[in-house]
This record gives sequence, structure tokens and C-alpha cells, in this order.
Amino acid sequence: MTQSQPTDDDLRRAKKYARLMDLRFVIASLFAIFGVIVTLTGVFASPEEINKAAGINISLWTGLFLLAFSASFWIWVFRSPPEVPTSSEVTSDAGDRSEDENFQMP
Amino acid sequence: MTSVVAEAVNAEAAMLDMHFVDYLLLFTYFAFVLGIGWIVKRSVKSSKDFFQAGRSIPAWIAGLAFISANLGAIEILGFAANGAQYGWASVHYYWIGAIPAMVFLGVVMMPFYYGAKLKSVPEYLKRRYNKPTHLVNASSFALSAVLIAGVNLYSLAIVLRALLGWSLAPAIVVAAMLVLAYILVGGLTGAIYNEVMQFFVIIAGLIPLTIVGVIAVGGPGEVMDRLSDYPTYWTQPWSGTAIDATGDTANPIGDWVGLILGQAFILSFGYWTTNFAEVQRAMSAKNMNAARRAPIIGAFPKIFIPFIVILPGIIAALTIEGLGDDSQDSSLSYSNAIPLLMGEFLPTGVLGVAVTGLVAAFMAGMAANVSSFNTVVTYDLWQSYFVKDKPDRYYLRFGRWLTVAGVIGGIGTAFIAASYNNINEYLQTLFSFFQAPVFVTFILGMFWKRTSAWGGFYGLVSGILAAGGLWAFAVVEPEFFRSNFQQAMWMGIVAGAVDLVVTVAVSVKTAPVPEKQLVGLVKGLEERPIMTEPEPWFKRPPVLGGAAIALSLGMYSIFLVI
Repeated sequence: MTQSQPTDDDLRRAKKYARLMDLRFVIASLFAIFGVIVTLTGVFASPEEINKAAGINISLWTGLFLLAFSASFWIWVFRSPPEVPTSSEVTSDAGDRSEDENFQMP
Repeated sequence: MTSVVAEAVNAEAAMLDMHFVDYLLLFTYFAFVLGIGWIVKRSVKSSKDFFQAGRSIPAWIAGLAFISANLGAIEILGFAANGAQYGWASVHYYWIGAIPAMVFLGVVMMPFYYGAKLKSVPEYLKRRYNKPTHLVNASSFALSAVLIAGVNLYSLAIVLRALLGWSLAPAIVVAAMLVLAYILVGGLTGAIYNEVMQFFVIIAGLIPLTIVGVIAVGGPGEVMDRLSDYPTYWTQPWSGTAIDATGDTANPIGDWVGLILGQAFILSFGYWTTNFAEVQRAMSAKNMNAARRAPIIGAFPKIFIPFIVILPGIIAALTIEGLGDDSQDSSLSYSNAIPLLMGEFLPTGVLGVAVTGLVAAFMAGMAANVSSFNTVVTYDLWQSYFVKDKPDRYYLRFGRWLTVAGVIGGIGTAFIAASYNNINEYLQTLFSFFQAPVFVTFILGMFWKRTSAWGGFYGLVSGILAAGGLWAFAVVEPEFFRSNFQQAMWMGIVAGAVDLVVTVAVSVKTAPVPEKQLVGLVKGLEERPIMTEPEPWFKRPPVLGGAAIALSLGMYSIFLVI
């Protein structure tokens, strides 16, 4: 691993990587897609489909809740962004983490 | 314990009427699963990253992964089946079993696991006792992990078969390749991230299913009214356990002594606190407090899982005609309660979410078993007894190959699961051979420093043999126990008691382990204070844990008012 001085580009990549690695971001994205698909299915649901689910447009409701859930995760990510390594920790390899000195192989 | 699962696994899964939209949801999820593996791959640089997720996981993720690793085929199909067969009597597994056990892990045991910087649960036995004790535990764990991986893989293949109309063999192999791809690239972090994502998807599928089911019956009041035609234990989980003066013993789940001592204290505590597939999730947390909080954070949602697993089973019993009568039609087995209910009530869209949740749950269950299997075999067997002192890179590569071996082993055990009707029942019984003695051996090791190395070994082995003896007795006298549940509970109690007696007897006759060797492993010989930094009171494990247990036991009051 080369320990060269980090450039702005490395820092930007580190930030992008930290966000990609943030599970909240991944879950929010997945549920946004699911929410849109399921809500649209609910909007265009046929009477038979509503009848099947005890008279409730369950796809519409579920879709809206999925969107709300996704939004709450987006807000969470927005309000407390993932920790980005400080510039001293960022090497030219943006994905690397500092080694834990406490760890030793027996 | 969940003999009913075996039926599900062997039954024709309910045919599901999937449309384009439903497949779109399923494939979107697959894209995310592989995407996570690909993103995470970049951070897997050492064996520690691969096997221990670099010890960098936040508490809430580790906590959700902790319950998600278990929310696989056995729990979702099995406990819905129990709900369909026994009603609310099945709820004890959660409220006096899993929840207190998870709290116990976080409050009492995690300081030793995490503080001693263990890589696996079996490693504790090597350091506390000796190599033979360690070898017994590591081998039995590795074997059971591959067997359960096969059961999850088989359940997954059954769902794929119902969806795509494939025959079983290609379904098993394709399902295995998918799981292999995502563990191989992402290691433990990949597996854990997928477990958390899967947790939310399965919840998003099961909640609408339950709501629609309850409304279809006529609302919660109507559900309870209709249940008054069933035996009392359907709505009063403690009735028929001989806990009251009537001495009524109608409850098929068992008697109250077996429930509290066997099911709750011995088997649940044994499973949740020593099963490495579970504990590994909490051990990956980023610091001691996060590791201790992880299982306790998991305990809170776990309290409510019965309402989306057991309750749908009950709804299925009320709404699916002929459920449980699988003599003619194997798709009517109890274990198919949830797939049947999905086919009955869920329209396109929500159906896709629910099917995705099921597929994801089985994949995550299998991944949890394979990732704990490769950690134990690499560190506890290969590095400890065969090839020592190789560079880290060697063990990382070995672990990757072992993942392939674990998945191939899972394919093999999936075909075993497919060819035997009652494989799962035997599996569950087999686990009660190991869990109870292992738990007692851990507790004695942690809290009684006089426990000697050979005391631990002979206690563990004789506990396993005692459970085996009781199991053989039950094979000869099948009428002796009310159900497999009661049998497993009493196997746990007897195995635990024999382990306790033998360990103590051998320990007082043999030389104690030198105290220097026990630092950090035994109560009273901690290396440093457990709390490394002050935490606000509401983040302290005992406070959070006490709240979880109080809420869990308080849930029983629901049955007093309805």
C-alpha cells in the first residue's frame, strides 16, 4: 500500500465511498424504489385485486408506508452523515481503513 | 423442536400468482444484494475484515443482524406453523426464551467474549479450558452450521421452485450460487449488511399480510372470538401447563417446569448466548458498549415478531380450509401457512415484497451459517490444529475457499433435507444435545474460577452423552413425552444438570487452571473495568436490558384483557 499524500480527488472519493458503505443510504434507496413500484401498483389496482385483500387497497397503503420509511432513512442520513476519514487517514487508496493496533494474529 | 418445518420443506409450496411487477421487485433486491457485496469487497483487505467485519459495525446494525440471522426458514415457516397448530401457546419461545437470553448475552456474557478479543465463541473454551474441550465444541458447531445451511437452502429452493416452476435440483444449485456470490465478495460485512436489509424487507412483507388477514377475519375482536372454539391454550399460553391449582396438563407445548427451566433457561440461553452464528453478529460491533448493546437492541423488535409470525399462522388456521390436513395434499401442511396466506390475500405489488422477503430471509439464514462456519473452521480447526503460523493472506484465502466448501456442503445437506421427511425434527433434537451442555460449561467457566480444564471437558462430554441417552430413551418410549417440544426441554434440563454435577466433581479433584491464564475470561479477574467510557444512563446495557425483559414479560398481560 502506498502512503502518498492524499489529493482532493482522494478525499472526494473517500466521501463518496463512505456514503456508499453507509447501510442507511442503501436501505433508503432500496425502499424508495420498492415504494414507487408498489404505490404505482396500488394506484392502478383492479377491483379484483382490492377484493382479494379484504377490500383494502393494500398495495397503495404499503407503497406509501415504504416511501415514508425511505424518507425517514434519508432524513437520518442527511442529519447525521456517515463519518468520513479525516485527511490524514485518507491515503491514495480511499477504501482502506487504519489498522487496529490491538489486533494481532496469534 | 419445530418438527413442523420438515413438512414445509417437503411439501409442494403453494403456487403463487406472480406478475411482472412482483418479479421486478425480486430482481431489484438481487441487484442490491450483489451491489452490497461489490461495494463491501473493496474494504475486505485482511482476514480480520473477512471474518470479523473488521470489528467496525455500529450497534444498531449488529443488533438487527443478530435477530435477522435467526429470522430464516426455521423461524418464519416454523413459528407460523406452530401458531397454526397451537395458537398463542407458541409465544413462550419469544417472551420467556429469546428476549431474556439476548439480554443475558449483552449484560453478562459479552464482556468476556468481546473483552478477551475472541475471534469465535469456541475460542473461549480453548483459552478457558483446554484443546480437547475446544475441539469438541468447534467440530460440533461446524457440523451443525452446515446442516442448518442445508435446511435454509432447501427452503429457498422450494420458494424458487414455486415461483419459476423449476425442478428442485437446479433451484438448489442456483440458490446456492447466489448466496456464495455475496459472501465470497463481501465476507462477514457483506453478510451482515444483507441481513439488515433483509430484516426490513421481510417486515415490509409480513405486516401487510397480517393486517389484511386480521381484517379479512373481521378484526382483532372477531379473531379472538373465533378462537374460543379452540382449546384454551390457543388464547391463554400458560393454561394447561400445570402451573395453576387445577393441574391441567392439556398444553402440548409442555409443563411449566420444562418451559421455564428447560425451554427458557437452558435451551434459549444456550442457543442465543453460545451459538456462534448469532454471537458473531454482536462480536463484530465497533466497541465494547456497542457489542453489549447489540443483542439488547435486537431484543426490542424481537418482542413483536410473534405478531407477524405466530398471528399469521393463527389467521391461516381460521381462514385456510383443511390447513394441517396434509395426508391428501402436502401443500396444506402447517408450515406452508405463510405462503398459503400470501397466495390467498396478497395482490400484485405487496406479493412481490413478501416473496422477496421470504427469499431474502432464507438466503440470509444460509449466509449466517456459512459465514460462521468458515470462521470457526479457519480459526478454530485449521489454524489451531493443522496449519499454524502462516501469513494473514493465507487464512483469508483459505476462508474464501472454505466458503465454497461450506456452500457445497450446504447443497449436500439440502439434498439430505429433501430426501428425509423428518430431517428437521432430528436436527432440532440434535442441537438440544449440544446447546444445553455448552451453556452450562460456559457459565461455570465464567463464574467459578475453580472450574478446572478437565472438569470442563468431562462435564461437556458427559452432558452431551446424557442428552443422547434421554433421546434414545424417547425413541424406545415414544409415549413418554407430550411432544417433541417437551422432549427437547427435558433433554436440555438433564444434559445441563449432568454437565453441572460432573464438572464440579472433576474440578474439585483436579488442579485448577492457573489464575494468570484466566485474566479477562473469568468473573473477578477482569483485565480492566468493563465500562471504558461513561455512557448516559439510557445507553447502559443493564438499564436497556431490564426494560426489554420487563416489556417482554408484560406482553403476557395482553391475554388477561382479551
